[in-house]
Amino acid sequence: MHSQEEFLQKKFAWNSISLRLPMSWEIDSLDKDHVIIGEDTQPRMEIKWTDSPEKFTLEKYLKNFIAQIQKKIKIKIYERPAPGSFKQTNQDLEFFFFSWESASSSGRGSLIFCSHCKKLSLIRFFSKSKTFDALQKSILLSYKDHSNDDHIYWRVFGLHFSTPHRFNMTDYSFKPGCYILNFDHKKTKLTIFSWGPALFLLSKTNLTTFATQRLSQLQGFAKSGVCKYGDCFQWNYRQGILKNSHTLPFLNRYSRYIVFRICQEKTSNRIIGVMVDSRKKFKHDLIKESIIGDI
Amino acid sequence: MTFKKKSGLKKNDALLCVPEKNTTVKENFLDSGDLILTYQAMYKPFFLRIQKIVGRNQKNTFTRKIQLDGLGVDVWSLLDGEKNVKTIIKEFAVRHSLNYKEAEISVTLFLRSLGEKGLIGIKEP
Repeated sequence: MHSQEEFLQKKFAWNSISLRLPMSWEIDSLDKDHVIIGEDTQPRMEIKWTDSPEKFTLEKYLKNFIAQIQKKIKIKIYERPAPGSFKQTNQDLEFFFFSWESASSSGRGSLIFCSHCKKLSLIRFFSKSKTFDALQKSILLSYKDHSNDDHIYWRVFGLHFSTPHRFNMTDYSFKPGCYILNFDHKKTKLTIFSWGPALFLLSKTNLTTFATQRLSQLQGFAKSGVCKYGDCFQWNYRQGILKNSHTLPFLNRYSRYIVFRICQEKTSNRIIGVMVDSRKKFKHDLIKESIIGDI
Repeated sequence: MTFKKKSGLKKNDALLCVPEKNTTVKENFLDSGDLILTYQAMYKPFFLRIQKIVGRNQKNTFTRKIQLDGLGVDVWSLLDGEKNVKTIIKEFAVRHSLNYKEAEISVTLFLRSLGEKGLIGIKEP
């Protein structure tokens, strides 16, 4: 008998959902609330999730969700009983099992409703088998749609960090060598940067020069410090609507407070940067809640 | 009028292809670790016609050089005519501790640009 950890060595976390996957499975397609995961260019599973409206009845909501999904991805869904040996451990989650078929493929899946965060998720597996195999059951059991603390965890393409729960992702970009994720909460913006491979990028330059080359808007000098990944550098400055406008008292309220920290994460060979852009004087607790916060 | 869809290689088949260096390409390593590749490129038909009108010596090719940085040199060194694209991606990802997907996009884009310049050929498996 294999344990769950033996099957599923890769952790995946994206926009509040998280699960464990086999090492050979890779992300094929990624959206804010939709993921397709494949292996050797063959799709293996698809996840789609949505937040529930304020007032709803679960039965009606499930029916509507299934109808929408069937129409959107052109599949037919048939309700199925829970597999015999499936024992869920998370009491917040309610599983509804189904089989599905389309013109070219078929498989099994599950709708998962969380009574804690009221999120409804659909996971469908692409397989010809009519029953859930041990791997699929383990993946379903590893599924989480909220964390137990006040953070949202992110673990994709070698990137690993957490953000404060109140921050929403506004956009993201994954280009080879440079990942950027933007978040906001009220009028505060949080941007996560990740550049790689760090050893190559820093072979002819240092971290501060690299930062000023990539982010030309950085002003002033960087203070050095130590974070959990090693040495880091931090810029603190005010940026007005015009050059030096923050020195004029009547334009003060239009200026923004910016903090940027950069460090090198040696295990994943990446350079990680966090920028916080806020209208109010920056609270340092905020950056402590983000990825390189343990400074 | 009907249009037939081009029957291109599927991604999985493309990853199994074996890239091979063009033997006429000259390699020159710099002290910085960068590599300069010198190769013959074809004139575009438009310039050939101009050459003909002007009556100059008609050459079909001219010498071009490109400089590869450390990452480019790494991929270039992996092109031994035996490793397929997938193996090259895996080795490149391991060398630089990169995620497989990131390495796949970088390496395939790089190989495509080398192929467009005629610096490599691709053998189907």
